[in-house]
Amino acid sequence: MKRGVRCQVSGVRFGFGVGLASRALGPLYKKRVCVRRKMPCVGLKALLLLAVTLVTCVFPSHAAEDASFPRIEQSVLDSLARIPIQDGGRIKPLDTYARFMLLKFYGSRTLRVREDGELRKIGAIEWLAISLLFPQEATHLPLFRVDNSDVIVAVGATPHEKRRDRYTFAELIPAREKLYELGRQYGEMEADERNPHQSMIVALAHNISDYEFLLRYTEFAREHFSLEPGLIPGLPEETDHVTLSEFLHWMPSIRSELKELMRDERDPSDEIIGALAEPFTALQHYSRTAMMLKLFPPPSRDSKSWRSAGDLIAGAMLADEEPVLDLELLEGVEALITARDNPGELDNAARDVQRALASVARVRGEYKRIPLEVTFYRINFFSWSLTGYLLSFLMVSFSWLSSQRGGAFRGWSQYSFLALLSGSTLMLIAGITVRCIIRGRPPVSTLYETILFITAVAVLVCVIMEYMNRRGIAIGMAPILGLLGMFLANKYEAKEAIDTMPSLQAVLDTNFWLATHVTCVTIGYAAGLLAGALAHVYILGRVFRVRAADPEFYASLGRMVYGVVCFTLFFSFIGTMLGGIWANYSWGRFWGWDPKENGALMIVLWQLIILHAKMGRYVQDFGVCMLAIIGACIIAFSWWGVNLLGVGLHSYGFTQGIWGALMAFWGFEAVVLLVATITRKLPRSREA
Amino acid sequence: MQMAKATNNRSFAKWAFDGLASYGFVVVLLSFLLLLTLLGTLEQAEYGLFAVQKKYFDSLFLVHKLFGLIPIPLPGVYLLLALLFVNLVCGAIIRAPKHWRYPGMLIAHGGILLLLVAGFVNQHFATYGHLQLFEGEASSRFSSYHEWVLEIRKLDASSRVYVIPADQLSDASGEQKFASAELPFDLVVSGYSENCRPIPASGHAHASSVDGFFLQSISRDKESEANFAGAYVDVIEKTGGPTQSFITWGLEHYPHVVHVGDDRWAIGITRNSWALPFKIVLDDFTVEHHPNTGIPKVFMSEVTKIEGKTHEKIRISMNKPLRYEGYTLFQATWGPQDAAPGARLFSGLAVVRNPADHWPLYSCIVVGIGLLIHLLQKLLFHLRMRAA
Repeated sequence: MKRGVRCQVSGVRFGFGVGLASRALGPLYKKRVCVRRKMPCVGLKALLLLAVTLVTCVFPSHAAEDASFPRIEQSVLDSLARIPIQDGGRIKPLDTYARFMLLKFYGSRTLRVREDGELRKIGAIEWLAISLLFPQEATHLPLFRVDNSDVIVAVGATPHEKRRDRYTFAELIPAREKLYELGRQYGEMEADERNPHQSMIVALAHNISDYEFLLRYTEFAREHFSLEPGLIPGLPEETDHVTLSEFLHWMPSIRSELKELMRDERDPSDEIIGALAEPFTALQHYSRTAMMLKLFPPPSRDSKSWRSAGDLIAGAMLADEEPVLDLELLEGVEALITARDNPGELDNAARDVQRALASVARVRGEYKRIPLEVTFYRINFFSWSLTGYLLSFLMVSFSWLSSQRGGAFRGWSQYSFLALLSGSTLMLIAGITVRCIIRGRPPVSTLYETILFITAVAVLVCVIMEYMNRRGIAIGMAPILGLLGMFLANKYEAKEAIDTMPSLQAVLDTNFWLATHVTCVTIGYAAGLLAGALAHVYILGRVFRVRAADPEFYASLGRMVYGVVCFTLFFSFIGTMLGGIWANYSWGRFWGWDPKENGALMIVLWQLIILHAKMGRYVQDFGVCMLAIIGACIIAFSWWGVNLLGVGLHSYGFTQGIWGALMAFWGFEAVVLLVATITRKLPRSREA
Repeated sequence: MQMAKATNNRSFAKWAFDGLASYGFVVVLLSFLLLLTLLGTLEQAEYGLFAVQKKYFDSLFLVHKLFGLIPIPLPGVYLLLALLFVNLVCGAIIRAPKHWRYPGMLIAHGGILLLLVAGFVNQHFATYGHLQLFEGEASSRFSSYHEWVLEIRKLDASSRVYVIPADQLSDASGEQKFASAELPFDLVVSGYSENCRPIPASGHAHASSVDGFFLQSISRDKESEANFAGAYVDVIEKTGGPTQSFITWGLEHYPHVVHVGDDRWAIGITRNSWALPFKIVLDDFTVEHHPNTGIPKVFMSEVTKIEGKTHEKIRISMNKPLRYEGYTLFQATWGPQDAAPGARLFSGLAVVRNPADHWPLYSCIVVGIGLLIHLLQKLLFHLRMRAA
């Protein structure tokens, strides 16, 4: 190390960011600093290579045994949760960011670890706080869910005994190069051409890379620089052991001094160049590594892009004037990181950082819905709703079982059932409403939201039908549909593991059409599925001879199915037509035979077939119910299947990896139809 | 004898009418429509929309290969919709009871008929194309997405244009001669291919090479816009001059120019195009992404519409098209998608001329009213029955 500089930088740095340093130092830097290493091109390759570099330098390659993890005060977590961050094109709470990152890595929003033989649950924001404040300890969290240990073997790491298990970051470090190499190789393949094993490797490589950047994000805040006093004129007396933000305060003076030297055609001494080269390389390094979290609002109201700490560092390096606000924000983060071992200081620092960032965001009008979103996720509407539907299903089961006994037990279970069903549905509707407020959108604009909305509509239609036809059938279906819907929503959210309130594409940026076309079509889906569900009661009742001596029961069910089919036709037809009219306004044609359009058309055609077949007396109640079950299969194709084809203009709805579930659903329905057909024929053959 | 014949004719007509108006017939038609929609949807992943649309949705008949092996003849969607129209007229309008206590179904079926008519008008009388302009460029023509033509243009003040459609070119399996009394030459077109590329002939034993190149046919891309047609053309002067041979290819920037007598003619394969009754100048194109993402939030074209001496500034953006004189210009696309910040961008505008543009909207309103009346009446009837 040259005389005059003591730079405490952990690990070895490669030459990334040299371009920035050269711009900051001007021609002098180019003249004196000869070592220049090229960064790979942007994209996954670059990120993976950078991540490999980072890991090589810092993290030990062994898994800790009997690990114990830091505990962070709830007040600190509360402050951190409400820090705004820009991610996926929108401003959201850090809490939301943490929840979806943890869901992506771990498969759940709560991380479970064993500490001294006891189970400890770590919430998403605490996990993120540990990762940022205690990165070394965080490498031993069992974070990465691996569904098949063959993946671990393929990348050269040591697999656990269990086939599906969670691995720590430290465990996977020895395998990173092979992992990234395979991840890059498989990542270049089309998603639908990869086998599940290859898809898992690609996902794991992405996750490890992302987490490396998270772990390294706050490294800048632990950095200290020292320069020999008086080496550069204009700097303050105290130049020993200063923080990165303090060093950035000097940048205008340093740049000015260097420009002065250039203007006077004086050659700065080797001492100055030597003294500045290493801090500048360090600054460039942090400008690249601290790029994950876009926590800092831009100073200009015109700019929409928030900045990471790395962006602030890069900006401060090039600024001719001291960016006072940016450096204050950076200082806040430094104070937060350095206070990590002192709970009192940490609490104050977290509150200060939150207040500082929130106040800037508030001035920009971007903070308004942050507290509401934090509350929304904390209340956990949909989990409560799922639990409520499960309990109400149990209650209705008790109620059915005890129908012969009558008395107090039956009455108690019925009241409990109604209370639970009402509570669950209110939680679901409240959750959907809060989402609408947070997003400023109608209730359905993503595939995930269709599940919530369809569930709510199906349950409400059941309640209305029960009001009109009090036979206990429709209301009995409500908790089953609610349970299935909320379970599906939960599974889909966990599978996708991405923000369920994403930024919308240009074509979807219209609340009028979202509120009309999408809502109508989705109500049509809900009604068609409800018709299918009621038809199951009819068919399975016939098969198992439930209430065989009560023909009015089946006649009533048949009328219900018929009525819901009419309801389905109305909303599907209007929704499909409105979709065509929207397409005529945005794409220039009413109908383009796009898979999503065709799926909607198929639903309409099938409802028409049912109604005309009934009117022509080709089918009676039994036939209508059989056809309604096929209708539910067609709705499943339209709702999910066409999104798996990966073609057409509705690319914003594409998804993957659910063919198996769809096939299972269709297979189950095929068995139901087959059994119903066979059992209907059996009595006749006996009679013959 | 004659009376019996007349009775037979009447009974046949009644039988035919009853069949066409029956619920059974509509169920069969709707079932076939559903089946074809499903097959056409599934095949799009493999063959692309354009090919599937031609095969399933614009056709009278087709042959579907079950599991890619067993050929099954099926009616096309075009034929099915025509039959559905007949069924609706016979069953839902002529035969349907006209008691106005229950008008819902009559109104709804009337709306469906309007929709089918709109589809027919769209199929036969609408024009679909696109207009691609870089900032500062102007145009008063728009091009087809799929349709190729061989264009022969006289390069003089008259700019007279003769066009040979692609379906006539594709008949030129070997050689096809095109002659016109108005042209001083005959054209012989050979080796037409819907998707091809010119390849240097050196190193290849190819009989048809012209000027050191030959056309190599490529299998059709499932994205129709990605196919580029080409052909060999011989220009044979009627006065007996030398034959001029050349290759024409859809991706060439300029047509081939031949000299015949004192005149010059530009000949080349190009997308079919149509004139607009006004000129469009792209003044500015803006694309805005959601911050720190690649998700487009807004993209819009600031254009000037010039008609005679009238200049009008208009903004065209997603969901906000320009409608004028029966033409509609939509913001469809933009590029280059990988353009660096500040690079010159082009705007892709979809241009549509559809006489039935708003008919689906009217149909939707009519059907919606009809269904609503019918369903509400049924619901009220049900509630009254329950109360009784």
